[in-house]
Amino acid sequence: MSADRPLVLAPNQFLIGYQPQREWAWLIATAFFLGKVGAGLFLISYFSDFDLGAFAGVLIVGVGKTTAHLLYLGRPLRFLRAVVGWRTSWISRGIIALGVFIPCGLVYVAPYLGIAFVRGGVADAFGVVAVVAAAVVMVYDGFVLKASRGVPLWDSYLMPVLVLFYALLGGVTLTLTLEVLEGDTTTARLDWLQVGLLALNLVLIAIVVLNAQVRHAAAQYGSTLLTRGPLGWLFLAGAVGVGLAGTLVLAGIAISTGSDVALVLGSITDLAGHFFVFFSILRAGLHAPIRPLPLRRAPLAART
Amino acid sequence: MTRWGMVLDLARCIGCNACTVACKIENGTPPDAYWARVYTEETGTYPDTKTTYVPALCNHCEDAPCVTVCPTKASYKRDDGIVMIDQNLCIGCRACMMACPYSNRFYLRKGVLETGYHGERTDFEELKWALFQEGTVNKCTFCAHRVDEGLEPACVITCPTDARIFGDLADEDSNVSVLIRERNGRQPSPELGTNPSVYYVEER
Repeated sequence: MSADRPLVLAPNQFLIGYQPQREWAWLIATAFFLGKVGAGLFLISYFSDFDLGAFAGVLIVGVGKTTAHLLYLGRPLRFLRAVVGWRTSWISRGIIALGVFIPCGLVYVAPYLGIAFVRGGVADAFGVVAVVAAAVVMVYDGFVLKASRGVPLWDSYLMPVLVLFYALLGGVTLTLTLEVLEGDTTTARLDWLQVGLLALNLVLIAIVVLNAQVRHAAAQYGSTLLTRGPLGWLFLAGAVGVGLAGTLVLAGIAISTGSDVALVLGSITDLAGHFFVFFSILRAGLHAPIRPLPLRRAPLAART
Repeated sequence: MTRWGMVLDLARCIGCNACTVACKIENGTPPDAYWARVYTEETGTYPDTKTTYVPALCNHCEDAPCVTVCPTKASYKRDDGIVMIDQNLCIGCRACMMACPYSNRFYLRKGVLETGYHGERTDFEELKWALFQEGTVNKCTFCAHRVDEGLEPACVITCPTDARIFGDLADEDSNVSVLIRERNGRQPSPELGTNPSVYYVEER
């Protein structure tokens, strides 16, 4: 087969070219987003002894993430069957982690809600189990993306790393915001952790894009979509510009002036950017063209 | 142990799409599901151009990523190498569609089966679509129901140029094994390590 011009997006499924994945879009992006920020919030709140945050984290995952997933599934009533494939499937592992996290997290926050059917050591034990499960909930969608061998842009161990640090960032941001909304003073430790995670995620995003440029052609094309066109606006302006750079500026203002308004605004830009990052990465996912055989003869243009 | 496979002869394919139609008739696949199909690639610059036809179907990979990622084990591999989907187990998460490097899986959207191709369901559609469930994923089965009866897949027997050849890859003397050996058959995207059971051969 010969090819003397670059392949483009295939306009239909009968032409050879990059085929955009169209199945995982805003609902999956929403489920992934809520899972990351909810579990991240629980984890950070647990280590900060911030009960409202821990409760909110369980609520975001238990109501938000699961609802988004159930709305997405073609056969939602069968969802319990999804635990069967835990030996090989990260979706199964994620669902098992959800099944552990939500009840254990609820038991852990029960005393805060005034429902004291477990106390002290027992609640703490449930808390530890919930933290471990929350850690899995935070990262498993990164491994789900990594396991998607049909979409070379996602098929990278950078995905779980990116997902982990975005989950931690979302957790820190929401913890800080909820502390302010509850009338507490934020801890300087978390303020600086947020700044550090913002900077780290900025570097990680750059590495993800650059890494895609030197890998599979479909990953390269996908990363090009991320930086140009309508998706480019969402990714560069929304996720990177507003979500990371804008939040960094607002976090800096909040730290230097102690402004709660800047902190809350920063949490809005951060969470919006967080959603845009993974929505863009999902939408930029392309299947590689079917090219069964390598070039065997010179391209036509080269022979003329 | 049998391992069913197929050789697709690019030198013979004329892009008539008889395989596409034969598959549609045999399996009664709903709209937007083309288990057997023919890709078209146009190359060159006017007036020196060329069209290449690339027949395709599920590659029934030995190391099928779609089977690995399936959370319900709805996707499974038979002992003879055919990768199948149990629609009664599928939850429609579509992870297998993301895992398949060859875009050979199709999701059946809700409402698709309510009306037929022409506004209302024909008797044929009533009969065939009873085998499909909305909200699940479907794919080529190598016509397992025919293979189990000792017959070849519908796309193979219909191809007017014998561009699709079906046989046992585990048998060194089978038609497909000989063809692969003699004409340097290649699997699609071998670098992915999926070890497809479909091979392509080019010009003699």
